[in-house]
Amino acid sequence: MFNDKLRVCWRLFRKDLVIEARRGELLAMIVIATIGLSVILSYGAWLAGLSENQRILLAPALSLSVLLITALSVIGKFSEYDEQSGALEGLLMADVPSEALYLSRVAAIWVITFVAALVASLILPTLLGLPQVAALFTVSGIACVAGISLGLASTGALLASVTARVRVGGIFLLTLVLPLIIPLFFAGCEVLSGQESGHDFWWTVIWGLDAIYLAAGLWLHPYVLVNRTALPL
Amino acid sequence: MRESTAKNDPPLLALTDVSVSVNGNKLFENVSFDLRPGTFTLLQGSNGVGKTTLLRAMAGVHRSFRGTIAPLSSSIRIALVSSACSFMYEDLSLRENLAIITDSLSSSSSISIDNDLLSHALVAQPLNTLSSGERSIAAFLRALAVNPDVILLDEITSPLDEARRGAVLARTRMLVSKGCAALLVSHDTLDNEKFDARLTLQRSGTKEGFASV
Repeated sequence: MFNDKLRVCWRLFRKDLVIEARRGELLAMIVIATIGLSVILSYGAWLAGLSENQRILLAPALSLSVLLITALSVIGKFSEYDEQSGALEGLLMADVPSEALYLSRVAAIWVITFVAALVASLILPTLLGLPQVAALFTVSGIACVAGISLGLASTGALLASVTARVRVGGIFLLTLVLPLIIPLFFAGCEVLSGQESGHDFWWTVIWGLDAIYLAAGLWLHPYVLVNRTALPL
Repeated sequence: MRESTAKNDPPLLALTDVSVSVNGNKLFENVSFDLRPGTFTLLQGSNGVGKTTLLRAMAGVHRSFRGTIAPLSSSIRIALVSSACSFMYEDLSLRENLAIITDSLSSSSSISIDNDLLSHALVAQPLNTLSSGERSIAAFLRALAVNPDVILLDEITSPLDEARRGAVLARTRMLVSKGCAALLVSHDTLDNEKFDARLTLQRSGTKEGFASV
């Protein structure tokens, strides 16, 4: 039974990636948004005349900002496509388990946000004149971004199911996701800041929130799927 | 008034006093009928009366209605096939769509059996490259793949040529002969086709919301 659900989950995840590979819409949006934001933010840093030390301190927060904003801009796209094509209804009529639908979507968003993180980690330090700073390429940096991306994906996959049918769904989704993600953002900045004190606490915040969001998503997703049609469009 | 299809087995799907409103406008009210195993029912009605909405409600896709739509058990599989919506990912082929919901697709019997409906080449092409008729056939084949107990066909025959329409109806009858209940919504004149019941959905405000022809 568990293996069956995992197999379905894998097939759904692969489907999301295949569709994205054919459409290329999300990847293009992510790359363009990441480059654009990196240019704007690093220009601001140069304009402020920050010293190299200040730019080093600022780099993690800017990287995570780019990750957050680009991820939020694409996080609802999978669900919108599901709803517009009617394919989600088809999956529900075929008794595809809700857990598989949710977890596969979390995995797909996780991969996509990781691409955003990768692009940001290559571009932003270079634009800030800090090519030696590649915070995301350390074990701790990768784990931190993975944790934040997981939180984004867990909340995004659930809440995008709520908002995908709503006319102003994009804004609605941002309003719902942002308050949940901001604590992760602060914790990520603390972890990536390079200061050793208090690291354990912030790691606990990141992975603890991830666990809560994922558990809540798994629990609530079946109700969301059944009741989402009752929302005013 | 309850319309019942011919066979005496307990209904696979029973509708009792079902009423649907969309944006405050009543489409129909107090619709009651049963779909029993091994029966093929034709549902007709004028445009906008709510046939599609009724089918979506029966399939569990449209949940805003009054009354009850009761399947015989929770394990009853209901498949909705619509010419307007394939319920599949249009960027994927039928084969890829089926691979999501079924195991070992390459040896899937439902595809090879119905090769007369859709060629192997078209089965492997993304749905958004197919014609509307071919997409309807693909949607029908997808429904067959889930081995439905109840199959609801919404205008599925409209975009089809005569040969394919006949093939779809024949394939549906084959399902019915195995105990499936089928409901076809169509504006086509199907005088030569034999159905266990012919029903007409009427607009709201009529005294009898639902009546047989």
